[in-house]
Amino acid sequence: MGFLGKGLFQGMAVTARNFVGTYFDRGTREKLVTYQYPEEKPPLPENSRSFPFLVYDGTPDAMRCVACKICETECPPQCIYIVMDRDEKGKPQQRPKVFDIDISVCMQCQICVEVCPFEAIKMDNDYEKSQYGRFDDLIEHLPDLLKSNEYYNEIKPTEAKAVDAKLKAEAEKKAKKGTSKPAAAAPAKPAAPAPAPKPATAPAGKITIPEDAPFTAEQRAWLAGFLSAGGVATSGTGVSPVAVAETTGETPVPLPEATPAAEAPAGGWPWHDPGLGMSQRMDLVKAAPLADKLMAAMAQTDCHACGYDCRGYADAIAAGSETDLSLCLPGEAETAKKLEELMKEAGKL
Amino acid sequence: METIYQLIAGWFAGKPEWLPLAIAIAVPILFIVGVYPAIFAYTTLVERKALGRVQNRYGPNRVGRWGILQPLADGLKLLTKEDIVPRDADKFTHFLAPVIAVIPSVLLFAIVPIAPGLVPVNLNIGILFAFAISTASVLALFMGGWASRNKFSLLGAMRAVAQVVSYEVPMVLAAVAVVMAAGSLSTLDIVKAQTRGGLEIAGWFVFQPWGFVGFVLFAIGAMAESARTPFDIPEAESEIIAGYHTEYSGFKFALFQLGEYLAAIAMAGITVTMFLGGYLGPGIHIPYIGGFIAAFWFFLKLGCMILLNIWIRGTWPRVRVDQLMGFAWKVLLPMSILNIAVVGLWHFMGNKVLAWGVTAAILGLAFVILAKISAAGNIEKRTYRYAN
Ligand code: SF4
Ligand code: SF4
Repeated sequence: MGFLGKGLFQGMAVTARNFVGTYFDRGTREKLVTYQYPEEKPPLPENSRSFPFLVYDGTPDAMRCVACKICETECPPQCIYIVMDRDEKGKPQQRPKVFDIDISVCMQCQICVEVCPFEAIKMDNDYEKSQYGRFDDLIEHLPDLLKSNEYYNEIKPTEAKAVDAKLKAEAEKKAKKGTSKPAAAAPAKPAAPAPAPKPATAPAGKITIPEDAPFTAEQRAWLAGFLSAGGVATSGTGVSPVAVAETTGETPVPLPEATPAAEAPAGGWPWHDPGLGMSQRMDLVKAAPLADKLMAAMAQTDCHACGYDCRGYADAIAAGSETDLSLCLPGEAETAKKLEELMKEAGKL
Repeated sequence: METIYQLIAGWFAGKPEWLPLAIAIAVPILFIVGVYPAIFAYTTLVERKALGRVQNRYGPNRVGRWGILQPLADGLKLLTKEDIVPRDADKFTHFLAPVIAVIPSVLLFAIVPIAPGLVPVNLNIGILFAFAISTASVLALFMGGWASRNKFSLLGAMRAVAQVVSYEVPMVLAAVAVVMAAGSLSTLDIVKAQTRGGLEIAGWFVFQPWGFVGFVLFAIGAMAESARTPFDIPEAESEIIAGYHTEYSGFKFALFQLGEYLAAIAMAGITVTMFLGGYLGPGIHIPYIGGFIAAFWFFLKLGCMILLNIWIRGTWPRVRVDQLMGFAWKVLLPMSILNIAVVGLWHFMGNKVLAWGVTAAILGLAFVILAKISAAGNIEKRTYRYAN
């Protein structure tokens, strides 16, 4: 039966139920939903993430990071700073001496994790990072960043298990092969850690206009002509075959007058782009001197894992002053193999 | 006051004559200034905790165990806050308004009896005094709103005036019924009148049909008069920021708050006195400790009224301005006028049991009719095209 003010009393009953319910909640959080934060913490979902940390196996000395600096390069806000460790003689140690992350800048994008070929950096879920200072206190140094693999397994069991299984499989494969690669460089990831997006609409070296593009037949023909002419013109200048390669997704046939390897200044190497596959890079340097070919085979991150920059390593190999061909860590097996091949081709091995 | 004077006059034989009188005056003042603000302080805490529980959270529980030092922390914070006065404000009025807001609220306690014979001032026109004083608080609200030179403050002040004036009418008329039944304007006499009928509790006015209606009318009026939810449109933060105290900060703001809560508590005290039998309750005639038991009953009832207030605040939504006015003039006013007539009927009917039934029937019928009329004026139910 309805009467004036019935809803008011129904409402009072609801609030009374909730009021009394809070005293009998007993931790179910149905009626008393608050987490009293510093004392109680809500469980975090496994995929939650805060800032990156560095994983080590066993002892902090056995960190997985080899200071390849890929993450430093790729970090969008550039908040990672890495200095490679060297012994007294100046030989690189394949481990960072300084590894800083400025967490006031880090945007928690996880890109460093995605690009690391060594499963060395992972996202933490510890969000209690408040500090009293605005500047130095918010920079995490190597000791702060190092956390054990057990910790990783604890906070993200599923993900960590997959990583462990992968690392184990790789270690077994390597043990079978018996290669003499450095111990730390276990995983066999593609040489290009951050593949540049390949244009989807460009098969077979020609710019095609999508079927559904709103053009008449005439316009279509003109556009096709214009675009291919543009492509030729670009590579014809000898400035950027890569640009063409990128737009077409395939290496253009190097025009006779466009042999960039011959005249491009050192350091301005157009294929200095880890986004290109090995075979594409090789095609680009078909006519180039050996040192350039070697350079093209490097992972080209200038990570200094080998003790040189990429250019310097290539030159040293070509000059014969460096005989170890397996020093390029980011390039991994692919680069080592290619270097060997190239040296054999050149008759120097 | 008189009771205290009689009590202690004998102890001061040979001392100057004014001494017992001074003490008899000072004690109630200290009591009012000391005890009721303490009740206010803890009302705010209880209110925040209760509202928290209603909303499935804890409420303040960090300052001291169970948050019992929270009022202190609040006071300290408000005291140390910067006092901001708008540049174009009428400085003197702006300063005066919060002070004036507190004074009537404190004065209201003068006529609230807390034990037999124990009332700060036994005025023979107690109820009249209460209404005269409580209406003065609207002056403070309007001063504050006007002096701030802020359109939201002014809007809030206008609303406050309209609301208090409207609700004053049914409230006074509801009190008239009580005064008629008790035959006196003195609060002490009104409490005594409720002992009639042999049974202690059955005599309370709230258990008579007209008394119950009067209680509801008076409680609604009291809520509106102290501008508490659901009648807090003078300070409706979603519409006019904070109404008349938008431009107040620091301790002036605290004074407004204090005045508002004290008024609410005093009104609750007057409601208890008029309808819930005041300090009446089992055991008040026991020699020596009877007075304390009476005070206990009074404060217990007062606490219940305050809790009811809080409960209502935690539940009901704020009424719209037009609903607010319509409710006062179209429902409360006819009801309260009818109530006065019914009290007269009650008074002249000898058989009280029969009188109980007849008056209940009349009032019930009137309520149903009023409900029908007011429901007829409602806007028809809105249908939403896309919400299923
Ligand atoms: S990418 Fe991985 S291995 Fe390379 S520096 Fe960063 S964390 Fe270390
Ligand atoms: S999470 Fe993103 S922003 Fe942070 S360090 Fe890694 S790459 Fe840089």
